[in-house]
This record gives sequence, structure tokens and C-alpha cells, in this order.
Amino acid sequence: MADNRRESDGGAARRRSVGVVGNTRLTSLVGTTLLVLLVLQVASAVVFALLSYNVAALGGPVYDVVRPVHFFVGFLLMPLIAIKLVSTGYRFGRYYTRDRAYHEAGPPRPVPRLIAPILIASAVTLFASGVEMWSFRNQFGYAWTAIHNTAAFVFVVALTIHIIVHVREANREAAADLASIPVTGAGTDIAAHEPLGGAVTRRALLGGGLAAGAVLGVGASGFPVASWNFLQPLRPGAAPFDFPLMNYEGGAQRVDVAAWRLRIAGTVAKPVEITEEQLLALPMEEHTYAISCVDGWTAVRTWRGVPMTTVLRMAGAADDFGHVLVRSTSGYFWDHARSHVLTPGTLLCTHIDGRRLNDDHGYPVRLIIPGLVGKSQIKWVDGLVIGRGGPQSFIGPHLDFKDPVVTGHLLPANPAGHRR
Amino acid sequence: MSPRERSTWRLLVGVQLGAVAAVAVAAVVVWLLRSCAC
Repeated sequence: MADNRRESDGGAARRRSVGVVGNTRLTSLVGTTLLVLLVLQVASAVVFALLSYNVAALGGPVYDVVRPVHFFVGFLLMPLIAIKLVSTGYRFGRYYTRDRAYHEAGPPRPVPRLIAPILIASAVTLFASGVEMWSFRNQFGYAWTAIHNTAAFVFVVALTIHIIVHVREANREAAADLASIPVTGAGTDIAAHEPLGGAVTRRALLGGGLAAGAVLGVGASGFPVASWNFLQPLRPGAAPFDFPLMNYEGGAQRVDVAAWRLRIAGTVAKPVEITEEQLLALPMEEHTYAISCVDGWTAVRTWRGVPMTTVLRMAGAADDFGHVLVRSTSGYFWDHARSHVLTPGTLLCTHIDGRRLNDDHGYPVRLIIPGLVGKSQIKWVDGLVIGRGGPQSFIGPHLDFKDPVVTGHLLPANPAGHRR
Repeated sequence: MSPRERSTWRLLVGVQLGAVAAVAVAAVVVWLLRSCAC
């Protein structure tokens, strides 16, 4: 936000050019609007991040509401932040190219001047990583979540300082601009509180930024109507499983079940290998509950499979085990806490709505835990590694994919993804 | 500051404080919901 000092010097206000004051007022108008939206966005981010590790933590439909709101406000913010960067960048450029009016107006005060590069860098990183995750869904690695979260932390700290320094002046300038009646033919010098030409242009920029952001936000989030998600329609699952397919696990696998084994190792009495035939012969349970995805959909399905507790007992898992790393043939895992895998209804799922899984949805077996976000519900499971203590990490590629207990058992890619 | 500017300023500050207050209330509600769910 540009500094717009009106220093009293024996009662004489510093007089600045129309351009400088107009620039300050545009920055202030956009800044005060951003303040409100950023408060909402920080709040939605906190709830969204909390629930992305446990959808059911707050109960009710909170996740289904906060998730599209976070995407919507994120995209809504982008044009306004772009306008603000251009507005302050213009001032920056004019000052350092020694434009007389901007040079006489002076630089920002030391604290905001020092904070500005951190604020800009963290904002650009924050939004770029957010768009990357929204757009590519971890196709280019799993570091983006950490980058996004770290940038968010730095951004919020820098933003708080920025707001404290600028909010009073920004509100004053924005109020002056909104209350003013545009005057044409103003003089070359003008006091900051006087009506100033260009007010209509500034309001149009603010309104246009909001409108463009709203269109982007609706298109990206499907908020408030899911079908309006025109920028990224969800890919429907292959029939009969008509819920969207995600790419968190490297794309659909095509597992050769003749070679495939479900291996259970770690802190167990006896490592176990289970064939598909043996797995299907075990006692099964059926439960109906929802699966929710960070990408913006929720589907209620009936899941049938072998209770996790059954296979843990078969291998003689240590009584005090603390976590189970669930691995996929795709090279993806999720290390689940004990409380997750012991949640009633947790299954090594083989059937959805009475039909055997297909390749897209995790054939021959996928994990399903009530209340957890979809990206932790590993598909094409080929290994459970049980350990003491807490989970080592939540997400990432196999750290031990070359471990002998995991062997190759994939057929050539089958883009159709239909096995049976 | 003219009366018109002052009323506009009050509106701006009111909206900002309202947003902060709304988020604070929402946080309390969420916390209560979570307590009840447990």
C-alpha cells in the first residue's frame, strides 16, 4: 500500500500532484477491500487445512462448505491483488526513475518498505502454489502443500504488520475517495482530502477486479453451484462408479493379481502375504458413508471389504502399534495414525455398491476410512507397514519402494481402466 | 474530514471489524461444534 503522508508542517499540508494522490487512493481502495476478503480467506484456510486431515473433525457439512469457499475467495482475490501490485509497482517505478512528483512524495516508511518484498514474494508464492495444486493435483510432486502452507505463514505475518502500519491511512484515503464527487479539470497540485478526478476510473477498476475475480472464483470452485465449475469440470468416474477420479496417486494402475500380494510387515508377530483369492475369502463387512475430496466433491457409497482389524490380527500386529503406513502400487502412501485405522468401518475395500472395484478405483483393493479426506484413502494397496510411535509422514512417494516386500506386479497401462 | 467522508469511513471500518467479528464468532461456533461432536 503506498504511503500517503500528509505531514503537518506548521499547519501547512504537504501538497502533492494529482497523480500521486490518485495512485494512493487506488491502492487504498483496493487495499481496504482486500483486507476484508483476506480475513475471510485466512479463516477458511485454517478450517480447510484442519479438515483436510480429518473431514469429520467438526462434524456436519462444514468441509463441503469451507472447501469451495476457500477456492472461491482465493480466485476472487487474484485480480485485486494484481491491481494492487500494479498500483504500488507503478509508484515504485516512478519513484526510482526519479519522477519529480513521486520523488517529492517520498518513499514508504522504513518498516513497510522492508516488509514489502517479503509480502510480495510470499503472496506470489502462496497464490502460485495454490493454483498449482488446484490445477495439477500433485501430478508434479507433493511439495506444493508444504510450499503453500509455509508461504501462507510468512504472508500472514508480513500482512499483519502491513495492515497495522497502513490501515488507518488507507481507510481515510478510501473514504475520501468514495465520498468525493469527481471533479474534472483539477489543478496540478491538490491536497489529499480534496475531491479528485479519476474517482470513477478507480471505482471501475475496483468493481471490475471484483467482477473478474467473482467469475474466476465461481468457475474454479463451483461455488455456490457445483455445476458452474467451468474452469475445471471434475472428471467423472468410469461406470458404474460415477464419482470423480483424482490423480493423487499417479493415475490408474493395472495390477496383475497373479503376481500381486497384500503384504503386512513391520512390528508384527509374523509378516503375512495375502493373495486376492485369500483376501476375498475373508469375512467382510459393508458400510455406507461418504468420501470427500479436497478438490470439491463428496460421494456417499456403500463400501464392502475386509475390516482392517482382521488383517492386523492375522499378522499379529503389536498391541501398542502407533501407525500403519498404507502403500499403493502407484508409488504413493499415507501413514495413518492408530486412531485412523481403528476407526469402526475402516475397510480394505474390494467392492463399491456391490460391484468389484475396477482399475480406476483401486483394483484389487483400496483403503477406505470413514471421515478421512479422499487423498489419504489409498488405492491399489499392496502393503501395510505397521510401526510404533506416531506417523512418520502423512503423504509422499514411497520412501522404501525398493524394499523387497514390495515387488513389481503391474500390467502395461490400460487407459480405458476397465478390468471387469 | 467532511461529514460525508466520516460516514464513509465509518462504513469501511465497520465492514472490516464486522468481518473480523464474524470470523471470531464462526471460530467459537466451530470450536463448540467440535466440543459437542467429541
